[in-house]
Amino acid sequence: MKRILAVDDSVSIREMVLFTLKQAGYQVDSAVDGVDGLAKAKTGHFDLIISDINMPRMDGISLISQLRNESAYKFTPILMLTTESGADKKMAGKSAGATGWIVKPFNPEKLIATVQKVLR
Amino acid sequence: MDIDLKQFQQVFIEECREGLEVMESELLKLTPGNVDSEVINTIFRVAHSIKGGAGTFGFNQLTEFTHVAETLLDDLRAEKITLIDGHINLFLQTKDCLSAWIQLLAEDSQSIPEAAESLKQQYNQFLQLDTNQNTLAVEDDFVIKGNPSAFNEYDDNTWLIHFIPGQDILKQGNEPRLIFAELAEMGELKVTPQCKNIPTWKNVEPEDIYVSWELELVSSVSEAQIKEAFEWVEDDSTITINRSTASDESADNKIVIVSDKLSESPASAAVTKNIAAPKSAETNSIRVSIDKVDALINMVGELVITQAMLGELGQNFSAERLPALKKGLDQLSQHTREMQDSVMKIRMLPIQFAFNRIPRMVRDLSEQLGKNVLLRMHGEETELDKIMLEKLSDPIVHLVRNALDHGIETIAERKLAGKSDVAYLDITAFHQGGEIIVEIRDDGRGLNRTKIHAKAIEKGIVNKDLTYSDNQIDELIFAPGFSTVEEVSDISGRGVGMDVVKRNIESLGGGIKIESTTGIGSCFSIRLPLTLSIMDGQLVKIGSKTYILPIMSIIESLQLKTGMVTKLADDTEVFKLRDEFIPIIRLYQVLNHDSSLEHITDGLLVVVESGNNKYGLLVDDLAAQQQVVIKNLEDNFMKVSCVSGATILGNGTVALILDIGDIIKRVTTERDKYQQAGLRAHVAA
Repeated sequence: MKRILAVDDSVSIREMVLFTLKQAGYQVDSAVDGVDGLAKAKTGHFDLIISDINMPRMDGISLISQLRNESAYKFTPILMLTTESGADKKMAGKSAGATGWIVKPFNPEKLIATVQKVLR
Repeated sequence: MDIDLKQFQQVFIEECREGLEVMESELLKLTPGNVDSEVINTIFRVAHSIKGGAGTFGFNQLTEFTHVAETLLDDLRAEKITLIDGHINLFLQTKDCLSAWIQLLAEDSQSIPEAAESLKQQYNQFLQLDTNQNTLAVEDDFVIKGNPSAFNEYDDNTWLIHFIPGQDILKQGNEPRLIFAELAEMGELKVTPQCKNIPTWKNVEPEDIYVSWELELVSSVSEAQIKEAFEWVEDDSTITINRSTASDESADNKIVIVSDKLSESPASAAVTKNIAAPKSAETNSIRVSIDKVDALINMVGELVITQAMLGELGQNFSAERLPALKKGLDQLSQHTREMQDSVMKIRMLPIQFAFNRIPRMVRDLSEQLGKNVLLRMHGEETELDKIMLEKLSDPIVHLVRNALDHGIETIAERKLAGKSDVAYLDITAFHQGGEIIVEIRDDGRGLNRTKIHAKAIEKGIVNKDLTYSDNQIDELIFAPGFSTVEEVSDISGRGVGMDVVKRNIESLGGGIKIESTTGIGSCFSIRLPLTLSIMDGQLVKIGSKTYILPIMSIIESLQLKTGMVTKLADDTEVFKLRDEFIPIIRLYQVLNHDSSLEHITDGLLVVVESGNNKYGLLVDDLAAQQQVVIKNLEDNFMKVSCVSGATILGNGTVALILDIGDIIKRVTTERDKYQQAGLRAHVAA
């Protein structure tokens, strides 16, 4: 079973992502911000990381660059959750090493479709 | 995949509420021109979260509304504009509007707060004034780069794609294999690698890509759909997509890497379940820190061990094992007590929840009243029973309003009195001997005793011929129907007097006191028990029955001697305790019991305090003091006058807990009634 780490500071979004991905048959863990996400990523072996951008303590873009410095996550797909208006954030995320993005707002179908793009 | 988003809405609503609390307290930290980026970031995140969640969970109008607020916040964050007072006020109003909106959502209502539209306009004004250069970026992701004019010359179904990947795409976790897999799902795909750019081994960087690909896709999909597969790499890579004729060339000499489908997708194996949406009704939930739950679980573990030990003892019991049994029982009682404490703690929440409305209120009111007030809050982390907290909020708010309206002077008045412009309002919560004290202290003008006294005489609350101590006069403001304000003001005169505040606090088993010094300020201090469900009780005997008096109200107990009791003209019995005359209430009369007492000196007098007056309650005897678990009578039976609840004693019998305030009220009103009717109250000799 593929393992996914979802990093988001919003409880409702986190719960929805968790629920949706578990329904789709993935094993999912979650983290509440970048600091938590980095710590969890280091101790687990995830096949995919999905991260929000705006978070307290450590934002998603810093999380991505830190993860790319870890040998275990050098090539792991990392998706960022961005808003439609965040074109500059997309670019910043890409240069930090993000694989791609899921545009907010998203529905469960769209989330699963995007995850399937990278987890095959 | 059939997932009902409704199940997450309740969480979203809760989250918004929490977020808005944070937003408000952060907004109050802002001052024009001086922007702490951490504060702005936090506010931005709240707006951003609400917007994101609203969009996801289908509240589109809420998304639109928060979007404009977020845009202005983003401009502030990026320092494109300077923060002015108007912004802060607008954000605070936005917070109010959002709170109202969330409440509507919680009630399953589709309507939108009235304020939303005008607030949006205000935002647009700000945004146009300050950021007219900030036009919306048009996404050009899906502009077709093919050759539309040549469209018809080609077979509809075959696409030729040339993909030269950017060197870094592997480092972003983008594998060409995955892109091909996605394309393969659209139809039949042939992939031909082009290896001519691979350098000599010495110069190969293993993490870079040197291969490019020619792809041939037979499918009826649009170019946009194909582009979507390359969406994440198109900025770094060179991708050309063209239509090709089916007979163009044979594919025989091409290496087919990807077949129709690469693998089963995980989702196709997933079981979809229809989960019933939780009831939209608001649940009365509580958030408990994991530490508290852990402590409780530990305790249960201990209890189970003790129980096992006692069980083993019971099975093979003999007289010589008596000490072990005693030890086991001691342990059991200790663990029970500890567990009781842990369980109580679960209901305890920081008093912050009752405090968090205050900063905003102080800000708005002091602005409205033209006063300069510095609010300082201490002990916000002090914990209090959840129910208590909910009921404490209104009295605190009332006292703070009062302090701002009546207590604290205007800037001019303060100058005249030689005080600093800035008035202090201190709100402090702390524990003191098993109780919680909340103090609301201002450095204003203090209570106007002359005015209070005059008003009390006018209203017939006090006898004009008697003299009263300063404190007694101060306490008069708690008398029912008392108000010193000539005109009902918008701020504190809301038809609720201090008597209601006092009554509310007393209904929680607490009390309120005033200390006031003219020209220096006033301090209202509220005293409350830690919890409503367990209390320390004094067991008393009245006739053959056992009752419980709350220890908190008891000052002392004493035995009367002959000659200590005097009967007043209205038959009220009083006794002199030090300098005070204290009315005696014979509890067996109030409760309609037979008494075993032949004479008043055979009984004991329990001196209690209620509403700053002392009364002596006559009981037959005092029994043990113990902690009692309060069972609500109203929920299980009905409201019984003079009784606040019931409990079960160690021997299994039920004992009623007496409501001292209620008893006193009943005795005094009956007395008044008899007096008014010109009758004499019946008092047994």
